[in-house]
Amino acid sequence: MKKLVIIMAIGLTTLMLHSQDSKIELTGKVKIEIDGLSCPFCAYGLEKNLKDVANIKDIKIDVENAFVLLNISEGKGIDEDLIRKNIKDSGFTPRKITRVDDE
Amino acid sequence: MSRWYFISFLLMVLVNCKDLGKKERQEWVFERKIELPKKSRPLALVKTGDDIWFSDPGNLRLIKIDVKGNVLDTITGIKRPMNIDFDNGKLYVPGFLTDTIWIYENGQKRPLQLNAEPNAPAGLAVNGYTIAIADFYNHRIILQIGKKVSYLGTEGHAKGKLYYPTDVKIAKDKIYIADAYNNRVQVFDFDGKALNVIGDQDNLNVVSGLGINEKYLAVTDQENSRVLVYDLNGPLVQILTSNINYPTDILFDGDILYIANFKENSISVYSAR
Repeated sequence: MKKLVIIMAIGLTTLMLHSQDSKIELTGKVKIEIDGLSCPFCAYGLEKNLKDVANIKDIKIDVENAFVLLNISEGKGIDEDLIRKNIKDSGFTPRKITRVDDE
Repeated sequence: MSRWYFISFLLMVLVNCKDLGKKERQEWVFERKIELPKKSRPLALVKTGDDIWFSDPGNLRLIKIDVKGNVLDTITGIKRPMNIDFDNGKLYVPGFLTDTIWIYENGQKRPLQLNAEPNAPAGLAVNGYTIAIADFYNHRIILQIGKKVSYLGTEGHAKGKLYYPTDVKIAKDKIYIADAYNNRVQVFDFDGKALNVIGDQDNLNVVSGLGINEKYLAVTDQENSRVLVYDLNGPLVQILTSNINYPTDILFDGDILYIANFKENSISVYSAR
């Protein structure tokens, strides 16, 4: 019984560590394609919400082509889920996220 | 025989009355476009004397032009200037990103002392000591008269509720509100009582900007690239569609109607016939 508890504890710890590892951290310059970004009031509203997220150095909103460019502070990272949630909370649907350097 | 004379006379009076009605009612016809500097995206318009100021939030600036489109002045450094107003020689500009209202006068800009905290001011109207501000994220209108502040509307969809208001106009004892994402205009009195709803039956899709004069209210139907003109009491008068591209604001100037085309560098000019 004692062995079983130990094995389960190890298994749970491994699972937790693994789920933490699976978090995607955004770094450098990132382009986020967003559905429905055409309305200027909403687009600049999203910009207003994103500017308060820690470690974002600079934001560029392209209303006509419906994407956001994030410049993340050097040596820092931002959880992708946090950014996706922020975009959803602002009333938009985030799509593809790519490193600009990679394009 | 006299009965026939009487009936003929009555018919003539009726026909003439109908004609008179037609003459009183204006019809706007597309005239031309004013071409703006290449990368401009005009969001809002105000007239100052013979000239026009337009806000260009995408480029963080405001530009003053003459009616031919020649640039006369530029203001920079305001983060996302949205629906503007002009009163008593001063240009009032809401800074959407910084929650600041700027006053531009004689080449200088300074912040307005506001006794309220807007979250993303999207538009404003000024009349002497009265200022009304469309408080976008708080779903309300801030009404400051002198130093006294009150609020019109709360978040929601029923009559008297607002959902992301973007523009506001003051006309005598009434306040007209672009209730943008409820797709309608709401009319309030100064005590916060909702008096009327305009446009809710006309399939509007994002009412972002308003224009008003003594007789008419013009409304941008942003996502459908239309402008709808209403009698101030509500009945629809005319729908404008020609040469309009994603309109975000309208400006009445006598018999002329200017429309900001946000998706291109132009202002459409209509004239009354």
